[in-house]
Amino acid sequence: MKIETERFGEIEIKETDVISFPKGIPGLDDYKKFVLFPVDEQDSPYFFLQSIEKKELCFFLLDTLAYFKDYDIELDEPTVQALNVESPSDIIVLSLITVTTSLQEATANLKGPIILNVKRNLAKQVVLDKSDYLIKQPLFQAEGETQQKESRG
Amino acid sequence: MLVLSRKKGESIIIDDQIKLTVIAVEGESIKIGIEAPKHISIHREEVYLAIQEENKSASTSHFNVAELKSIKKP
Repeated sequence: MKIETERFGEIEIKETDVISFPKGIPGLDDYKKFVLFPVDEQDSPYFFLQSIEKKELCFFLLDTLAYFKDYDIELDEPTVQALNVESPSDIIVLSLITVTTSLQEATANLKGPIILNVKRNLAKQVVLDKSDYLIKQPLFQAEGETQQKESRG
Repeated sequence: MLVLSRKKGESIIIDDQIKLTVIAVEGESIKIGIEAPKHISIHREEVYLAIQEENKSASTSHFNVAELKSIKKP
């Protein structure tokens, strides 16, 4: 199927590549179908998440565990059930990246990771109420030596 | 909005499956116990709202992927 995107123009995707967010992404709840593809760079931990319903909607994401090696979270039972997770190898953890000024100041949302079941192409953003991970974890700044800091959220 | 008065130890049942109990009242702070089916997600509102706001910011972020190559991870 062909989809129209602002960033990449018209692209051809396979229906089997479509990722469903049954509950949407909080704040943008209307959009539930996306495709994920890596930023074209070898071994890049970065991905694009393009809406197939709204051409302007394209997130920039990070493979969280590839970048923050000591990041660890525990999936709660509702998430395991909602995503039909059978084994830890079914999932990848992604973080949305926010860029306000320059990419140098980009931040990753470690408190609201996106959990994707790659076997079923089902995804959900989870909110880690109790963790100290930051909503705005700097990616490239020196003071971002660790993501375990007092939460601002 | 429905407003109910409850004392310490008293509960509210919502839709036969969610039970909120006032566990403790200390000044302006109230501890609430929540019993709900596992598929119900429960969040502190301010955290949830902050995540919503951040998602909106992320969705309108402009990024030049070419810049990535010039940035070194510290």
